[in-house]
Amino acid sequence: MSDNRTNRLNFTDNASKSVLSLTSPAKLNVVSSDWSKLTAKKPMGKINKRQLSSNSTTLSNVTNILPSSKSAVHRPTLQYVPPLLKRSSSLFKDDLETNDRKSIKSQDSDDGCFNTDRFIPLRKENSFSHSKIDPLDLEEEVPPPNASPSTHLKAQTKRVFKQNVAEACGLDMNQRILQYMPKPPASSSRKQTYSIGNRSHYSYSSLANSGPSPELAKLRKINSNPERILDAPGFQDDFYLNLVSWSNKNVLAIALDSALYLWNGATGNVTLLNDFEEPGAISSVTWSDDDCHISIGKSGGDTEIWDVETMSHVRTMRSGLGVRIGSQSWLETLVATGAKSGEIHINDVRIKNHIVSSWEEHRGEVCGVSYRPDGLQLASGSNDNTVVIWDTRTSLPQHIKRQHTAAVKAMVWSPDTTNLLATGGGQTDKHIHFWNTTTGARTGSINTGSQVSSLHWGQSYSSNTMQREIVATGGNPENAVSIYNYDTKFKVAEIVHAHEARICSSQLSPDGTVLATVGGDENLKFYKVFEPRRKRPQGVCDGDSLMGLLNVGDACDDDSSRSPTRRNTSGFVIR
Amino acid sequence: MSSGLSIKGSTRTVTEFFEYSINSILFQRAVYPPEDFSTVRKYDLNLLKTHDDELKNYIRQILQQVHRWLLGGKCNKLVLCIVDKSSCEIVERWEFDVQHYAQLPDGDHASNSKQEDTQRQIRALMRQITASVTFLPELESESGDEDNFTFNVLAYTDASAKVPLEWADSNPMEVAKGSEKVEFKSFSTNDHKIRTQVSYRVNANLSS
Repeated sequence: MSDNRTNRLNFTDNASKSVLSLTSPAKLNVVSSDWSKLTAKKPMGKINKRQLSSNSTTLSNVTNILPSSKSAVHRPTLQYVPPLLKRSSSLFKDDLETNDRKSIKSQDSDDGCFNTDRFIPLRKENSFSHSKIDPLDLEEEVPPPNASPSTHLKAQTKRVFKQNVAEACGLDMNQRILQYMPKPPASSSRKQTYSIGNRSHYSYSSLANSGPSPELAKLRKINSNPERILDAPGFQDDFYLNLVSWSNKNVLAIALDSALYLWNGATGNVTLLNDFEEPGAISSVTWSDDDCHISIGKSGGDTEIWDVETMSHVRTMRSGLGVRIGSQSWLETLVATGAKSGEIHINDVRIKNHIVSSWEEHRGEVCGVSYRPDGLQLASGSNDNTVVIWDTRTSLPQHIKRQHTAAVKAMVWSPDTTNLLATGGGQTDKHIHFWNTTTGARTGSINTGSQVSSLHWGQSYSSNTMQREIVATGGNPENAVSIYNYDTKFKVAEIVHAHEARICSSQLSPDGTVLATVGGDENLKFYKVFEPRRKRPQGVCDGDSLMGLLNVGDACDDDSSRSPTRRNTSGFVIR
Repeated sequence: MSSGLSIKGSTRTVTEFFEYSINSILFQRAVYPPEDFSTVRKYDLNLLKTHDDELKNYIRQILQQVHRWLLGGKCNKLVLCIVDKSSCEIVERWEFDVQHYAQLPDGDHASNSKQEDTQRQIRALMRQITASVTFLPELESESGDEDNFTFNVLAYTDASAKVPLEWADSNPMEVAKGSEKVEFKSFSTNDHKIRTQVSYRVNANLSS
């Protein structure tokens, strides 16, 4: 204690001498012993250590005093001496070395650590992990989700190889990093609004955890050669337009130059519907839900409806905006049209004053509109980089999403989950975002590495379980058709250089297996990308039910309550 | 005076410290709203502890397992990551490094820490954690919503450790590029030395 006091006296003397004006003496009082220690610490570091081990008797003496000394209890400690203080220490280094050796010893012994309440950040990322081989450095980097499927496979193989080598050498490299998997509960205030219980896992953890699992890099073989190639001379290479549409009756409508052609998928016949004889007259084409009518958005702001049975013009709906109609979506008798000026008009084709509602929220060209299959919501994407999810009953925007950083053209509703929407951004964005449109939450994202010009949901089957997948068509650098698994968000297949120029639009065939893509290279190509959707028919037990039971028993995915008969039939379908 | 802690007692101290530090961090960093916390007297300090049963239970589940690992000397690090829900990025990473004296070569340490010393060191450390809000960047989500952060707990264990089902292998979940680290005080019990540091995202406007 007396040591401390003399030390303090010395210190205050010295402090007044020093170049640094070290705040007020009152403040110094509390921490004084530290200041002296840290100043002394530097020049005497080596000596102290030696003393530490040898002078165990003095050590215990001093520590006995300590609890009574209040100043020592709250004393901040220092590990790293800031340069300023180091300089000042030279001023009274001599004093300390001669007079205060004892006191220094005692302070050092009373605790082992030298920290301070100064928070000095270390810019360098050197973790203080004490193993010789830093396991963090050895941790293999997971390739980005948009890397080619083979990269994923390679990374995985590499990791397994490394692990095996390390095990063989007996290295302590396989320290495990374990994550506590259950999700942390929501805060109490949040719980009142809705239950978080069945919320899906955040994608960071699904990425992190599915990393080493073999499911992840499971590739799917698809034919990278098109089933068929058609010439599309005069196709407008404009990202903002939607110039292809494929009806449920297997008729594909495509606008080439100023004319609209119909290609019959069953017969392969091509018929000319109409030539408007004005270059770039057509800005969008969409089949109606009854597949007998087609609506044609014009560059002048009109929307024409044609009957394909009689090949005749039915009516023209004028938006009165004078700008092109780049996107349309049908819902029975309603057509939503998105204009270049940002308006979305809801037209009822049955009535004279066809515009029943006009929605003005977008500040840029509306290049994608899509009704949810049940009609309760409409999603629209625009050149102002926003996605708006509209409530069709109130005609008000329900959610406005600004995560995309480029025009949003591609938008598609999930066929399985009513409130799941996928949207894809343009050239500078390159992302696919998945939205829960009820809550407005983003449930996942994929960086595709290129412009997303269209998206379609699809499926494939591995060991009898359906994999939900989404196909995206892109532009630079690879003009690729990429297929992602929705659950893992990883690319499972891709067709690189599907076109020689960027892919502008694509449409999925009525059976959901073939993708028709059209690009700036004026080609219309048909790729088989998905497996046909398997329905699970009800009832009816087939002959060799036992086999079906056995086959499906282990692969049956989830539903334990499903009746045995239904299991049989699903087995039947799969065979 | 020199009544040391047994390995059990020492582990208990460490686990208890984890509990209070996790609670403190969750409060200080506003991962959970202040209404969920109430003040308790511990280490001669007023600390905040959650009274939300679910969260309490969640933390207890984690720490029970960590405690088991610590007893067996299998766990050498506990990490608390704060995660942005919308971007799924790790914004802060609190690291508690556990050194088992028993595993170090002899004479490499002074295992004469007393209970009061340990308590004093923990107190200083808890104060630092509380004070850390002054320099840590404000947690603001890109989407601007409130309640947009959640947390994750990682444990670094030996490969030989028994792993219950709730725990699965993970990557280290480091803070993305442009992070800074600050090391805090450490404390030691008879058998363990705990070092604490936090790494955090510095340039928040890089990402937005």
